[in-house]
Amino acid sequence: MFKDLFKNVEAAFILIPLTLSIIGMIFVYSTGINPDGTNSNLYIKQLIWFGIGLIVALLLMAIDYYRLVEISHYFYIIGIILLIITLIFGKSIRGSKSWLGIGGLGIQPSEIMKIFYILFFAKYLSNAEVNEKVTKVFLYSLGILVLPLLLILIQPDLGTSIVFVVIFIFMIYIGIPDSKYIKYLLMIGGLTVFLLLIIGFYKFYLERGGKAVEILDIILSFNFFFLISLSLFLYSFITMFIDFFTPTKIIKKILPFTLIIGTAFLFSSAALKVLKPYQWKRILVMINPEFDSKGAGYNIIQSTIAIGSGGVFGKGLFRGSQNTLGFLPEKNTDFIFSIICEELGFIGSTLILLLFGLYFYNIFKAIRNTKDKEGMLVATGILAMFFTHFLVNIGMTLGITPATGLPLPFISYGGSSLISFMCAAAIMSNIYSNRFIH
Amino acid sequence: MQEISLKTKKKIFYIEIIIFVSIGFLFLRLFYLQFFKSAELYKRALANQTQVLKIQANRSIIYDRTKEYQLAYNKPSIAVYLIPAYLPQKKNEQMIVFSNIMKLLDVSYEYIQTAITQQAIDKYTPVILEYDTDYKTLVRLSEFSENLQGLYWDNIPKRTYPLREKAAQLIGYTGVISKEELKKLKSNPEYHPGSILGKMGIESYYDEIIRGKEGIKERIVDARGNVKEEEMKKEPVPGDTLVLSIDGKLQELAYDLMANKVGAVVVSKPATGEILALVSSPSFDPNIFTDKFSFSTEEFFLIKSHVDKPFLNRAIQGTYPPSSTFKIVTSSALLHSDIDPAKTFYCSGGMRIGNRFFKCWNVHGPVNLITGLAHSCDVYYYSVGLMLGRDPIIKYAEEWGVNKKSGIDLPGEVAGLIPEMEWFKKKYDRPWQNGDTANIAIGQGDLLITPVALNVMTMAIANNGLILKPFILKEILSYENESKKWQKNPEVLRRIDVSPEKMEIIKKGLYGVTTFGTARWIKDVIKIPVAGKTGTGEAGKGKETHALFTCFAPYGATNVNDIIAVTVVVEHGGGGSGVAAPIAVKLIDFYFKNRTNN
Repeated sequence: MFKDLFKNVEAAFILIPLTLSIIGMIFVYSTGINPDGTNSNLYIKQLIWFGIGLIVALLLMAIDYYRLVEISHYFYIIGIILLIITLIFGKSIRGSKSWLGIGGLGIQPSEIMKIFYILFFAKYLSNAEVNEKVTKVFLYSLGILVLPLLLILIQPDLGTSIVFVVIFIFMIYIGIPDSKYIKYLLMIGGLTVFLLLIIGFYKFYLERGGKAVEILDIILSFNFFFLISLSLFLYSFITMFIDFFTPTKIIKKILPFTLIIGTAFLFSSAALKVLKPYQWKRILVMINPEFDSKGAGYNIIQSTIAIGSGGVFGKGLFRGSQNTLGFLPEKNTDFIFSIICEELGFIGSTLILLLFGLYFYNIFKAIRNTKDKEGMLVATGILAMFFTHFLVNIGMTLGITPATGLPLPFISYGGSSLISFMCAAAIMSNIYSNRFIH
Repeated sequence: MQEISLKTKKKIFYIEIIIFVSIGFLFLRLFYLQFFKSAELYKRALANQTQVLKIQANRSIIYDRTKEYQLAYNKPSIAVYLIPAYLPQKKNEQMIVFSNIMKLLDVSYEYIQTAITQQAIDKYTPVILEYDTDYKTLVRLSEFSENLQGLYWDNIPKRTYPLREKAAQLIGYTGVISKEELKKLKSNPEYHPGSILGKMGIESYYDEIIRGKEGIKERIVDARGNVKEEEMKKEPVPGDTLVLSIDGKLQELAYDLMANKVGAVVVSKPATGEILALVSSPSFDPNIFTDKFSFSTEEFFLIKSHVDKPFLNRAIQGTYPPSSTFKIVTSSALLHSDIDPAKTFYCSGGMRIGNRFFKCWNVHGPVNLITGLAHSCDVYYYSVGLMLGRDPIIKYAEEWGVNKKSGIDLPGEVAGLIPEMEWFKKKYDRPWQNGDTANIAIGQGDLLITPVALNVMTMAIANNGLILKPFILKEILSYENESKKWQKNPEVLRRIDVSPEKMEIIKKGLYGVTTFGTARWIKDVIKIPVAGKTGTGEAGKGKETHALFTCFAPYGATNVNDIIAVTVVVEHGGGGSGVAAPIAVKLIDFYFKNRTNN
């Protein structure tokens, strides 16, 4: 049976995740070294998670992924239920209620939900009449996204919600032929980010002791943003109403844009209301980490020091001072890459980038060669997930993306994420090995 | 089975571009940080974890001239200290530790807080709470050690001054560097915030030698500040041993004789200029200012604000009217003129100068230079003064160094005063008159002198006019093996223009003082011939006069090496003969009874 199992498997799909996991375990050991020389022994736990992940992965490789996609609506429902239970009974760790305790163990349903979501969304998209009823498909797709997204945002876990949004964008971009909606979506996203950055810069200016500008105080407020979005929506509905009775070309052309701008302002006003000062700080710190060098910027400064001080060849395994003397917080999860850079230098960090790059390259090969739409979409979703984690995590350690706390696939410590990533890798290799079957 | 459409392939390609361009960005950033920024960030990583501590060296041992009597040393002492960084982090737990400390060491909460704010340069600096903790307290501390997190005890040497108040202003004491001192010493790398340095006397004047060279200790600390490793990068070098010219026993006696009096005593050897004793009274016990908290203690402020100013070193900082001791200066001016020292003037108890009557303190009948000096006859000196005129007297006052700093190796010496013409006119707004000349001829009228300057004058008589620079530091010995590294050589400053033969006349007059003159009782109490001059200085209306006596002995010694010069000033003490001279005589007696070869 196992001979069959590995027959069509491209070695890269197995070897790269395994290599990364092993590197991960070495560095979970390294980052477990306490200043007093003892070890937190988390690497033992990680080893156990790895073992469990390996069993689950082998199982997933043995089943045709097509079968998984077929029953994915159950997964999706189970996932949603788990997320709801988490919100009710979950444990708060680091300010977000994302943990579900079972006995002595804790799992993060949002990690597993990513895979369930990819499978189910792929199932929906490949069966939907994407060519005939684009708008309907798009709205349904949004619905499938919004349900888990909201549950995760309430926790609140900003990082994971970003992953869901990226998965959604990648999959729908590939999944539906007319990408008009993607364009709109990207426009809304881009405009929202732009507005938030303007607010961010003003807050940054104020934090630095700048004098308040009255007009900006009025414009960059929740009330003002909300009013703009409200009036734009109002205008859109009225013109829509007019258009319904007497179709007008010009209205049709303008309508999407008023809706887009309105939505962007709505999101920004929501952000103004919802985002807590520490979250703003995280955004501001991206502009200049030194601005809050004891608070939100501390991690990024220490991470940059760890990475840069590693130089070309590194300080040697288990010998990074930023690591062993504890200058870097969250070093076994969020900042494990910084420790790799410190201890193995540019050689080590390039190796990690190379392994991920190679892995992504192989996923693209799978996407291109898969004959069925389900496989292609699942592969795209998995790619989106890996890529977002990879980019946000490493970008954060380098101080170029906000500190949202996403684990680096296969490497960061954490049972739920490691197992989820291994499952995803198993499905990925499954898709590639079955590429001639479907 | 369906083939992927061309459009989808294009989309996949776009995603591919986004992903690999992103990876490219990350790679470039890594390249920048790990190649170009590497050196700078490596330094920052080092700075994160290294703490550089300056370790102050042990201060010099200070000996008296016998090299047996220690005037200052570092006594091993168990000190109790706390390290703020290691106190419990939680406020209420910290309070428990503080209340235990308060109970066990019997100190107040404020005391602990001031100690921390004054001593802690950073949170790792040991804050010393108590020196010389006794055995009983240590036992109790060990019992409570669980509830005393952050409190430690260890052997920390304590600067000790065995002579206590008897040489306080002379030896000085130590304390934490002040802002002003730091500003002045900023070019010297051995001084920095928190440095301990000498605050007075020898401790201050020779601080650079006494303090030795600082050591450097490097510590590796973790993010929470716990020390992982410690390495002494540079061992501290103790200060070289100092040998002073001071005779410890004589110093002690001099202070004992001055106890309950206000004033100063200077004893010196005219042959070299070295100081044997230098006392200022009232004094204080420098041992209560244990290095670190000198400025926090109530005692410090009590002493500092005391009306009699115990911090003032009266021997070098107190100025007094020289009164009759100045007659030595007038005599030297006379000997240089063509007035015959044997010429007699008649003292009928006073004389008229201009339209004022100038009194003598007694009726002396006919007097010449020798009897005039011995009896301190004012009329004789009024007459001589008027004959000489102002300028020669002022010139000789300057030559004798009345208004000069002696140059003694102690900080803060002040100069006496001679009424310069311009100064005089500014003060009184009238021209100089004959009466003023008569006044300065007997040592009154604005003249001021310090006890050490008066002593230098006395040494010069014994030296036949040679003025030497007085000094206290005699030798520097290596801290390792006490081998001699440096030795002070006598320094001649100038020579007074009076020939040895004529100086002999002054000496004779001074010997007359103790044999038939104002202090003639001296010959009855001591066998050693003493040549001296009494002085009774006006101290202002309604106040008791200052008592002065300056002398050298033995008179007529063939070897100048045998001679010592003694100057005693007692503020508001009364007469020089009755109050100051007995102290000088006792010192001379003691010195020659106990004297060794050097």
